Amino acid sequence: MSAVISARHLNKAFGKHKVLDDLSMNITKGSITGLIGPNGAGKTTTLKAILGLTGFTGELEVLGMDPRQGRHRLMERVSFIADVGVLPRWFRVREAVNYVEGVHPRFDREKALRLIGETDIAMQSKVSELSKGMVTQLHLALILAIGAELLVLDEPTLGLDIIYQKAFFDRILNDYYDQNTTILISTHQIEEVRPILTHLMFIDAGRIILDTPIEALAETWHAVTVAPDKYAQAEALHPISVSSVLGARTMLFENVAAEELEKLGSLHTPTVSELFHAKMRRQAGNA
Amino acid sequence: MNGPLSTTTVMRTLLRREVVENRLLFLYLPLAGVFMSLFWLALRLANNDLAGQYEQFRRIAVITRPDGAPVVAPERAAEIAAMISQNFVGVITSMSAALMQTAFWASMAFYFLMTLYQQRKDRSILFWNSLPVSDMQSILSKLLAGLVVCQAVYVLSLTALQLLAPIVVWVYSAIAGTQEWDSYLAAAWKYPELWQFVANAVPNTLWGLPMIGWLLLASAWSRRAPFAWATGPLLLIVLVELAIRDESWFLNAAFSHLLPASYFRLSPQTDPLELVIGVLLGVLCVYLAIRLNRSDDT
Repeated sequence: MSAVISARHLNKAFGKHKVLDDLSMNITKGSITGLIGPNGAGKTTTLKAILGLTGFTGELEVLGMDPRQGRHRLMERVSFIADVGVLPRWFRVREAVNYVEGVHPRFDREKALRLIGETDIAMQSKVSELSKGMVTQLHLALILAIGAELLVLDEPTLGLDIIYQKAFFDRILNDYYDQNTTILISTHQIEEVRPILTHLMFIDAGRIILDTPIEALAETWHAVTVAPDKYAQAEALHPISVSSVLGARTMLFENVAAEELEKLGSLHTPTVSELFHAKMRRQAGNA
Repeated sequence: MNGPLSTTTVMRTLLRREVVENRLLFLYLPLAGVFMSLFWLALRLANNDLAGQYEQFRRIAVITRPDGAPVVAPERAAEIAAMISQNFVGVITSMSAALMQTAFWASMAFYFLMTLYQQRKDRSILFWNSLPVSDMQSILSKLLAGLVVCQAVYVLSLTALQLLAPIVVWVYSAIAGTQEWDSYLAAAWKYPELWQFVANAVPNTLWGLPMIGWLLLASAWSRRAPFAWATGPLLLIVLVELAIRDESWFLNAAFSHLLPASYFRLSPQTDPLELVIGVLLGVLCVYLAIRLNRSDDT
């Protein structure tokens, strides 16, 4: 599949602190990729580099364009939601619709009005009068009406309650996503986005430390709640992490055959959170 | 889907955004200026003794003649009364116009100094930057909004002031039941001096361009304290100049361009070469502001 985003050896530093450390990644067309990492891992900087909002060294192509050259042309094909509350507070809903219509060649006014009409948002309302959830609904309606080829979301549901979070992702799947569109989501809310992801990327200290299709999770990683008498046997298979909860010891294995692990205890596919913690601990151990 | 958008459509949208966002400076302030001027005129009318002023004028004129004969022939009394009344209203409208022009240039200085700085400080920059608007379009729209749209609003406001002042006098006369303003009203309904305001707007703008460009550059450059960045380097140049010689050419030039050329005179009093150099400097500053804005880390 063709790469919508292709990054090679991206580097960026603030003083002595490296934010992007030789980062390379590929995002393919039609994928929904979750970019997951702890605070300060370089998620937002990576997204800003992709959007042409920050400088860096290295090679980066987004939809075949260098985002450092002519960011505004790239923005005709890429949409971006940073997080809740970035819409100007003095904007009225009607003005926001008129503004995007006046500057974006792909904007579909009818679709925007339909999507806004499905919410409780009044066209005369000011953004400052709307709740956090409503601002997100409005922003999403504007963005979905653009129908961009690539949608970049940076912590898009931070601070929203579960109902709004679910509605946000449902709307993206129902009104935006198809095989010709690509979504890149950076978030801390791992399990909330997990059901919609096709790819998973972990980032830490400015590097991609895991890049996998979701369907490969079950083949590559296994979590085993190890029987007490099998600890030594399990340790011999070099688990990438070991955790103990209420006396039960769970070990996470990478590229170890399921048949072999089944003999050690009860086996399950690790959650994204389990995998994330395991990878982060390992990184910390290697550092 | 929208389809391709013309440059005019995009620019009109960007201008609308600037006007709505800065409606206090661009719309409410000039409108408030007109209403306050008219209110001031009404107050002065209510407290004015036009007949007394005319008598005073006549007495002064009589005293000034060595032979004691009246300066003003009785048959010219109406003409003199009209002159006095026109002068009375004219002083108020002229002072109001001067104050409104000052307000306009102060608003512009504030707007150009703060616009890029505040835009960067606000989280909504992420929304603006997520749309296909180039830095050049964005900054040109700000220049057009300030120098054309806002200036046009002020020109229209000043014109409205000239048109509305006789109406206020007429209403006052009707309410007070006086005829002492009749001679003024008979001559007041003339075409307002719109052409003069428009004619002044272009040289004023060109003359002020180096200062406007500089403020915009300071706005694009500053991470904090844009006023300090706008004034600090200029002060430094003045201090160096004063250390070398007794007077500062730069200080005079900067002050001269800070105020519109026609502020005290009705046409630019300037050397054409200085005007051209100033315009070029202004354009250079705007270009640098666009470059800086583009390279800025959002």
